[in-house]
Amino acid sequence: MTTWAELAAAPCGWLSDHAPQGGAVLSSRIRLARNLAGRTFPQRARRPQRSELRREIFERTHGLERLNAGAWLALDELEQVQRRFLGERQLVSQDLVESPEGRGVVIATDQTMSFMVNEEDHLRIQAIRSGLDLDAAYHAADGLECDLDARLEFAYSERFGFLTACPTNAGTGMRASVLIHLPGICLNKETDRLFETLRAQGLTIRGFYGEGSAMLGNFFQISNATTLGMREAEILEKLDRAARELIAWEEQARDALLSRARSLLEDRIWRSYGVLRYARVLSAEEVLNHASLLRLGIGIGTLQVPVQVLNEILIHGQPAHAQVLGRGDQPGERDTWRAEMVRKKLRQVEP
Amino acid sequence: MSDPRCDLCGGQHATVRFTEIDDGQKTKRTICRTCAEARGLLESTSPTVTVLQKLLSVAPVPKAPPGETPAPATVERSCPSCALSLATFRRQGRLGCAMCWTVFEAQLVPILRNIQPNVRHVGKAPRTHARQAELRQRFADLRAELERAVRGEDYERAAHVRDEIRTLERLESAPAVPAGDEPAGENQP
Repeated sequence: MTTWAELAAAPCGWLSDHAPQGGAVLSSRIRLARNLAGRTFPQRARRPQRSELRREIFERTHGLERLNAGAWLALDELEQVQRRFLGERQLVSQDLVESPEGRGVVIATDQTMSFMVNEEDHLRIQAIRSGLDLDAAYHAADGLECDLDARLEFAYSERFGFLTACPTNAGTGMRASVLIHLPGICLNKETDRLFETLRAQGLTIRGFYGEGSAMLGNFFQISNATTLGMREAEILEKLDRAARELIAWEEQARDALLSRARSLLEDRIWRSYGVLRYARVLSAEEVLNHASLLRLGIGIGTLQVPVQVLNEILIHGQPAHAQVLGRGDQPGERDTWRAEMVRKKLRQVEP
Repeated sequence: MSDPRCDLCGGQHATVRFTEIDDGQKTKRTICRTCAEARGLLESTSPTVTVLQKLLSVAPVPKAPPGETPAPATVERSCPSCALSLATFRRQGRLGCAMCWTVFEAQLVPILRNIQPNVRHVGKAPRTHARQAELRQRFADLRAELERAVRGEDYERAAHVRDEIRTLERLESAPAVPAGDEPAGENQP
């Protein structure tokens, strides 16, 4: 069995080189909501009931081969910074970070698959892949779901499909999402049209950290808004098509920016490079915003830095990562550690 | 003195009085026996009504002969399994357990119509349900084939299909084998 410390020391498995459409799309994620038959849903269950169910689920899923050792973690046994670390790796939701009582998470050793226990539903099964690869992510999540189906009994009705706490998740219980980088559309001030277009297609658009989060670093999370009455394959196809259309739109926006103000744009990219390469103190938000311009610079051929290095900077630059990896308890110490980490990574691949 | 008219159907002989609590709003109603039975407010021999009564967790009202003052009953729709009330569901927008989906089906369908493309699930099913659906499909296919064979006067084929249906029926009606036990009855004549 893998411990939290081993997970923290391991690289984030879903960040890999040569991902399909990896320049624009950071990750593709599938989340399947499932509840157990005959059990009160987590939000309505009492705390001891929740803890008991977590114990039972951990017991029944123990040694699941697909997870390759894996980590079974009770969130109320972790410290807040440890929970936030898992949140920053997209392995648990913000809700589980904030209120850990009776809740848990099971994580595959390579961190590409996991399932949360006692989130809004008893089980939230998840798989993440690098770049735009919804089919691979679904295949992984579906495999894990089948394993769990063999060991637990899911609440299901022929009419409403998988029965979830919220009617917006019924049917397939599936939320598919892509984390996509759209700096050209943002710089062109086309975000209003972006939101409108996606809403009209029945898709949801959110910020970097999902529900209710701000638009940081020009990253957007696009996901299906509906779950009932459509097959999983149709939902995936629709989202994949929308993502490809967004990538084409982003290309057009970049072309327009370049023909209008190439030197200004290149200046901004090199200034951001200068900050990241030489600054001595950096906040998490600064890293996110400057790294966004570097990513754009790579996309339009202004500078040559492997996208993988930027992805690592993005993940490791987050607050809990800086606290855990840099062992800095004060925000000031973390900002110094972060700047050093970024400098070191960029120095290694200096253009 | 004649009975008041039914609040629901407008018919005469409204003898059942009750207070409905919906979303914290109390409404006093007087309705006829037919409407009361249909809503599961009275004891009935009909299994659907009995189930409905349980689902609505309503205490049955004693039968009152026409003209007598009926006993008032208080009705708050809530889930018998997790005790979630309709009012709480409306306020929080979250269901408390799988049974809530049955109890509040009438309220859920219009909500789902608003937020989902369709109100019938078409995607993946759990292992056990998928097997049942497969069996049902197999039955339907075999019955259609049997009909075709009979119509075409291919009695040899019809007999064969009929045997296949019987075998399948036997398999399906056999009690589920508990995990770890050996399947029994393999050498039956």
